[in-house]
Amino acid sequence: MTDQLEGELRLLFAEESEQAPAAVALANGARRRVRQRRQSRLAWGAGALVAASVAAVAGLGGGPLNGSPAREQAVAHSPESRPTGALPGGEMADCVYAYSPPLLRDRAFAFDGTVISIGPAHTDRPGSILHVVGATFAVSEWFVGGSGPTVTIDMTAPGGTPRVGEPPPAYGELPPAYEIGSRLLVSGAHRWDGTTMADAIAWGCGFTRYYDKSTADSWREATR
Amino acid sequence: MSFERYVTERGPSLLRLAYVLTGDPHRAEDLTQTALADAYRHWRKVAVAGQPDAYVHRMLINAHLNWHRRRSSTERPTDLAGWEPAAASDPAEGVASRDQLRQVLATLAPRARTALVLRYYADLDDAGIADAMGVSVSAVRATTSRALATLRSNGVAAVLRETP
Repeated sequence: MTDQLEGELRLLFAEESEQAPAAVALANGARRRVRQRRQSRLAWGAGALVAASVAAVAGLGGGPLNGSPAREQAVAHSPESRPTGALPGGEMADCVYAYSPPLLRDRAFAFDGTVISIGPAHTDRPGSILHVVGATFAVSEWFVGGSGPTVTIDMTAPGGTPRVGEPPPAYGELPPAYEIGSRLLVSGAHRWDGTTMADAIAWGCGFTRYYDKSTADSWREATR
Repeated sequence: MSFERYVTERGPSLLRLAYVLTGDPHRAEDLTQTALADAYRHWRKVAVAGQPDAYVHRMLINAHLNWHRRRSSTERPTDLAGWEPAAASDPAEGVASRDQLRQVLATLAPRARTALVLRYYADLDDAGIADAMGVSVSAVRATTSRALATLRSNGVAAVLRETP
């Protein structure tokens, strides 16, 4: 009986292994992952400096990320000059998956929302190297995961992530990637392998980008 | 052996192992690349040690079990509502099916299922499984034995007994 059970297990596992995906560019993928990890460490370390600068400037200005000339300059985007595509850094990031709306179904969450406040991150843990900020959104539409009219997601600081090997830009040198009032299409993952929105984090590799109607339509279509 | 040659030769079988462990193509690729990325970072040492398979298996199993460990607070056993143990006294109902075996396997603890996969798919002996899972040989024996007992107690063996 046990022999038969063991035989069935062998057959079952062998049968399942036949369904495995084809091994394509595994070596390149592994190397890319190592490179990405190294770049992330460097970039997020530098990004932390930017975030700290942003927080310091905001503090001196009397409100959380409010009132700085750079912010006001960016808020003044006219509809014609409104940015589109991925947030700065997202397209440059060496992601495992290239942006593709159908892959949104595999993301932990995806929504269309407008930034209503920016505060401290909630997913960092002692020793964490990301040092992201917590952005609260008024959600217009949920595509994947989540529910409710607002959600707070940890994200790259508005100052963005400097390119590897380059010094972080001084605050005000570049317009922030987003700010209060920015409408974004946000997608990402649960940090620390969590399962709730309390662990949610969004970055370029999560496909987060600026809102535009056709992109929102493609997200809706892909996740229907 | 170069990293590229190792991946060319062993990558597909690693991916198949990851797929049998996870049952999910994306997670299988993710696990395989995680293990290979780790091996790549330490390739000089791994190659010198002469047992890259053992190292990569260990990384892969470790990543797989860690993933389950982190999700354990929300993980729920597969619903067995549709699965009834076969009545050994009624051979007419003893319709064996791999799907039924698959269903019961899904209820096993990740470590137990992993041990079975390493034994009956990867063909590792107790020492190899212990090395891959980072546990003692006696723990492997106990885990495997309990897992098989669970399969039997859920009627899988009874079903299989009636298999033509």
